Amino acid sequence: MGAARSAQIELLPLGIGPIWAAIHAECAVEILGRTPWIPVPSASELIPGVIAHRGRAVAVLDLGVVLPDLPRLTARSTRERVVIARTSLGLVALPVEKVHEVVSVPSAEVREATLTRGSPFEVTIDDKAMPLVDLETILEQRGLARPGAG
Amino acid sequence: MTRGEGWMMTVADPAFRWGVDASRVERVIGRAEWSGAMPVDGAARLGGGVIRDEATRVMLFATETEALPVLARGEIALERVDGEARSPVPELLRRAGCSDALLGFVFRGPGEVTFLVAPKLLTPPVTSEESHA
Repeated sequence: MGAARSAQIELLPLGIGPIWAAIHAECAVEILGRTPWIPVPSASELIPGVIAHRGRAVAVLDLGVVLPDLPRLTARSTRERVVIARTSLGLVALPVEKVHEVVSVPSAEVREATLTRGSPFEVTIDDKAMPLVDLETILEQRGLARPGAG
Repeated sequence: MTRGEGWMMTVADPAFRWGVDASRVERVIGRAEWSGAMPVDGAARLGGGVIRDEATRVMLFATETEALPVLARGEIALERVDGEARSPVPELLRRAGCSDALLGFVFRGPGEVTFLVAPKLLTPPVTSEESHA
């Protein structure tokens, strides 16, 4: 097997309802259980509030704003899991319902999205096609990333 | 140490609980007693919407020029706050557009929070809706 074929990436599949999406596992810092999030008045749709994590406020990112097949967060709704992930702007909290174990896949299996919506790339894990979500790209596309980050 | 350091005056507004550094509060008076400039609706400025409610009071804050009146709707309490309990606004939330008047959070329990507010940043022009509140 050549070097290019052996390149692997580690992904963390996240489920909300019947829909799955994957993030780069290296971004994930911690997986919490059921943790209420707090809507912040004047906050945006993408970053609608915070959760308390180790006594500090962590911004909540609503994946439903980015991925149209996912339901949006609603005020006071609490999901079963919260993935704390690292970005160039600090930690973000991703409320989800299910978290799969980390999956190592050949990077060549990441392809342009044709079966899923909301991300330019997708991958198939356990026979499920799912968008590959790059948090840094989301922040850049929304004009939130710090210049030069990424 | 300044007077009031570690103390927060909180308002249990129907929309959400907010609080200010108690050392900045000069007086709290009944709405009917206030005859100065139109008070700022603090909760509405933060995005909580305008709620018509006669049972409001006015908190007067010290500024460099004159007292800043802010409407306080709901029970007012004085609470001691451990500095460790105060959490700043995450940079991402700030960049995503939350109000500059929001200074931070004091977590009170699961899903319960007090929004820490900077009164002097609550002062864009008064809306016509507020002027009738």
